Amino acid sequence: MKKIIRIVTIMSISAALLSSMGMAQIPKNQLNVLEFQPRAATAFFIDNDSNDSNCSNSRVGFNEYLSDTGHYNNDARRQITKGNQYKTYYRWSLKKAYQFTGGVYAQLNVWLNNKYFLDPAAEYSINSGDSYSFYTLGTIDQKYAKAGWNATPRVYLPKYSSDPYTYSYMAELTPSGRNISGYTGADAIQMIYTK
Amino acid sequence: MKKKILFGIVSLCAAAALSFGVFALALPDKTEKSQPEASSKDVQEPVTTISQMKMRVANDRSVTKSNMFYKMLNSVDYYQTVSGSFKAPDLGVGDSTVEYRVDVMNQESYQRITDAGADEEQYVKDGMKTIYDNKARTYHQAGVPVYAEDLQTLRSQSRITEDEQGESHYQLRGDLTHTGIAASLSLLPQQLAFAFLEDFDNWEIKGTETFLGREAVRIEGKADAYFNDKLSVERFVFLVDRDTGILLNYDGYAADGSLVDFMHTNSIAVDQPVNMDTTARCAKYAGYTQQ
Repeated sequence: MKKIIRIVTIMSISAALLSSMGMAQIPKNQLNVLEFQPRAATAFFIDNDSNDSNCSNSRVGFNEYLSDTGHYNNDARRQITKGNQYKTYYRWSLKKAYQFTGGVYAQLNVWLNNKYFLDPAAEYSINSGDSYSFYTLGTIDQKYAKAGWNATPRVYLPKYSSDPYTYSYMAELTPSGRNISGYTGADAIQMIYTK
Repeated sequence: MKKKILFGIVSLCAAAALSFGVFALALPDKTEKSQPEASSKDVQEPVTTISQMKMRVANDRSVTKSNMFYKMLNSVDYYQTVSGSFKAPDLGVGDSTVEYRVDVMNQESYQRITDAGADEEQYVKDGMKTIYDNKARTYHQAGVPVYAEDLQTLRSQSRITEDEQGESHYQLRGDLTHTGIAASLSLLPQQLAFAFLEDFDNWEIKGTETFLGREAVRIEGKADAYFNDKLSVERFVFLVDRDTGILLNYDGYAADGSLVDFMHTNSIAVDQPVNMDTTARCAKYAGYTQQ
């Protein structure tokens, strides 16, 4: 029941926010794109292994699926941290990209709540411009992360292409490669954009 | 192949820019698609410099719970350069030694992590991070973040908030040292502060003492249930640098009194000249292959 309430609440807030911002859909590079003019922070919630039709996940590694009530919506994924800094990733994607003119500010809220998530410098990035251009937001020490939402620092995503619009729709987590016995954990995130 | 965008290389100042003000961009509607995009003049990029970010905040030296908590969350405001080393577990094979040199104003840093299984060096300069694996003889390059933070807000408001679902949110500051591990464990110990000091009823200030030539505030407390379960830490001892909020020493003890988690500083020098000369890098890492 709690899960349903959360999903409905988040979808309602997002829908109201987008509606108020004059959302319109524009095909672009085979992406569906949300066009709107935000006046404040806009957050998109994406869970791991999302069954939301507006979201998707992809991964290399992170094969281990976890079920526990401490995880957001009771599930998460993990990857052995050691030695996997350049080999594995977990991605959260919007199926309709956030579109913006000029620069935009971005940060992630990351849900962490697992005793085995011990990566001392899990790196979070967000894409902008084209599919696989990622901007680093920073690292989170998952060993000392509080149980709950841990917000990365906010970074500036500049517009750099000649196209009037720039797009962002994907966040990425990569392990630090450290901690021989620990895991890098992937659970729910919120992508937050601010103009 | 994943490409890390490097957008901090235009200038060191801009590489740590902040956002202020509100954009007044007009997003064209569908009928305006064929028109030129808004002039670049309309795009207000962050202009605050690292100097402004490091704008001196009054250094409150009072030894109170609120001040020590605040300083650990914002320690990077209180020093320009720092160098030293510490030892910590869970970074590699066995205990690891972390050596660091940081020049915050010039956004340069060096970090070396060595242990029984690894020898890794990391340089940050001109908005780029280069990591050399001395065991595998490989290197990896990536951009460092350009933080856009409203530090006035971060400094003045609580960084722990609760949403309408009753879930806690912990806001992290940007790591201006760009070291990652050295920052999180010592130089900007905001996560350790959140982890162990959020509940002021769980810890006490036991006085001050001299540690490696620094005036340190001794904090003793008990871990909450989450970290007790996660780290097997029942009680902890912090030595926090009084002037900067840098974490100098951390001991985490299990219920039986055994040391189960720690960060032990071996040496530290604050606001002393640091040698960031990297001219010898090319020769030292010749033959390394890019990863």
